Amino acid sequence: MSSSDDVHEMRRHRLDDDTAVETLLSGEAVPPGLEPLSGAVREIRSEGTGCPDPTPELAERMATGDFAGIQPAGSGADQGRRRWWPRVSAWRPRTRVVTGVVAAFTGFTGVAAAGALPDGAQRSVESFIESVSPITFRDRSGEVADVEETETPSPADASPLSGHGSEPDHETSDDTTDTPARNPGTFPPGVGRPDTPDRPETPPREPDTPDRPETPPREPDTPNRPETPPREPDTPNRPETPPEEPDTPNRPETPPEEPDTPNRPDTPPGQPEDPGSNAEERQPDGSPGEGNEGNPDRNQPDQGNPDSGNRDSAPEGAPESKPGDSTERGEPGDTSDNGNSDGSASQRDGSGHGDGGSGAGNGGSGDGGSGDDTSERPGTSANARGR
Amino acid sequence: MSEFERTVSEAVYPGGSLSIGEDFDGILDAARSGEPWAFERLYRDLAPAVAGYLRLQGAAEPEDLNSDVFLGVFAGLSSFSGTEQQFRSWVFTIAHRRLVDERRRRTRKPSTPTGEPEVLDRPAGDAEQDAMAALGQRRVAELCAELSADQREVLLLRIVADLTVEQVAEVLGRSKGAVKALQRRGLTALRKKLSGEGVTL
Repeated sequence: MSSSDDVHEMRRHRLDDDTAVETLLSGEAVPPGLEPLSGAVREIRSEGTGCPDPTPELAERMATGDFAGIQPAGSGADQGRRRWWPRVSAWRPRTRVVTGVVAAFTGFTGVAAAGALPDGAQRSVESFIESVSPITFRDRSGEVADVEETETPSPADASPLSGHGSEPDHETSDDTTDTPARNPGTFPPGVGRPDTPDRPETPPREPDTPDRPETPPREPDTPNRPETPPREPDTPNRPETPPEEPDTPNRPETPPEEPDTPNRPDTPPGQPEDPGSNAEERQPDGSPGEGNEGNPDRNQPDQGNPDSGNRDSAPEGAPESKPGDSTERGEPGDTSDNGNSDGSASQRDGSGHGDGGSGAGNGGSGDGGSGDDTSERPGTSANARGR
Repeated sequence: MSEFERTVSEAVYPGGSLSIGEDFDGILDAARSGEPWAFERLYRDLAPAVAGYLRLQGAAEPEDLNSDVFLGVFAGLSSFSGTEQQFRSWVFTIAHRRLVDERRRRTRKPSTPTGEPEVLDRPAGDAEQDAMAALGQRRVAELCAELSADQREVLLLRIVADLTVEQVAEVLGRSKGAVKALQRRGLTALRKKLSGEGVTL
């Protein structure tokens, strides 16, 4: 590296140094390498030495000390105000008043809507705004009342969600309704209960589910849910389901399902009732009624596919071998989703095995006819095969 | 020559910096109370730097703009409180804003240049001195032309207005780091210009 390069590097480093820059700008002595630059700085500084003469106006005001009528220099806010104020000052007085009233009203409305005012002022402003405008504020006291009302029926559920007035009620109802929507056929009894066996509230929820005719249209969309269409006919039977619900409490006890299985034979007697009702309902549909007739014959433990059978079919063929299967199903069946999987599994079995599928479908009908429904769709093919 | 005038004429500019010193508070109070000599003193101290800053920044009529700045300063003296250095920074803040406003007005209403009326308006004086001054102004104008607008703004406030980095940052609404970077780049550009010319000032 040559000496000139070294000098160049030194100069560059000196300029990068803040101290050197400050020395240069202050006009103090600088290293030889920065002399030209220091001279340029002196030249620039010399431009600020000559005192210009004041304008006549300034000279006169300085002499008199009177600066009235001159816009004083202020902060940046003043500058900003200076920009928009001339425009506003050019408005008519009426326009100014109207604009001010509108701005104030809008501001109070927004603040009142946010509930940021003190209680007294909040009420008065709300009442005023409601009286002079179509705006209505939500009554907070009403909300509290709603919360209390909703909480009373389901104190257990409301505990986590008690913070939101009516929401907890919606959520709980959604839970119940969602699950049946998912497993329309298999779960009506066990829908909410496997989740919360302690819920005595299911009766109030069940009326909710019949109100949902919407679920059937959804279900046909899902190929896995052939059960939903049967549900629709079941919904009128829903009032009957509550008596069946006592069976469902056994659901959460799926491990003890085996002792339940002896009870299951009770369900078959119940089934003829349901099938009958279902048959009536199905007759308009046609094929399902036939399937019911074949059920009693094929519900025998031998023929009933343990796999295909729903819980009802499981007890029939299960007492020996199926309990294990049923427990497996029952455990997942504790949750409504698992119940769905059971139903779908039964459908698959039914479709696969033909007769067994029909038997399973009948068994399912005992639960609420949903099983029949399950047998219907896949079962339509299954029954056809069986026949 | 009155004592006030002698004080003004004896104003020393070490390194180009102006300072009133300990008398500043008294002068400021006198100006607030409307004493003409106080206005005169403040004007004589700061007007050269303000006018130089406005001129090198390219103001169309720097002297008129300078007077406009001081009209606003004197009218707003009651709202100011602080030291002399803060007063200096405040005055240049106003000057900078007036300059920005003047530029906006110019962009809205562009006017055709009319030569150099300043030369015609000036009273006759020493021709040699005037020529040297004109050369110096042209030279400085050429140097400033090498700078970007931001660099020129920073360097002029640092050199002509004699403000610190912090004060320049306040006036321009920038960070200290940005001001330092701009002044370093500006000095680098000036040095590059000087080295390219091969002229030592």
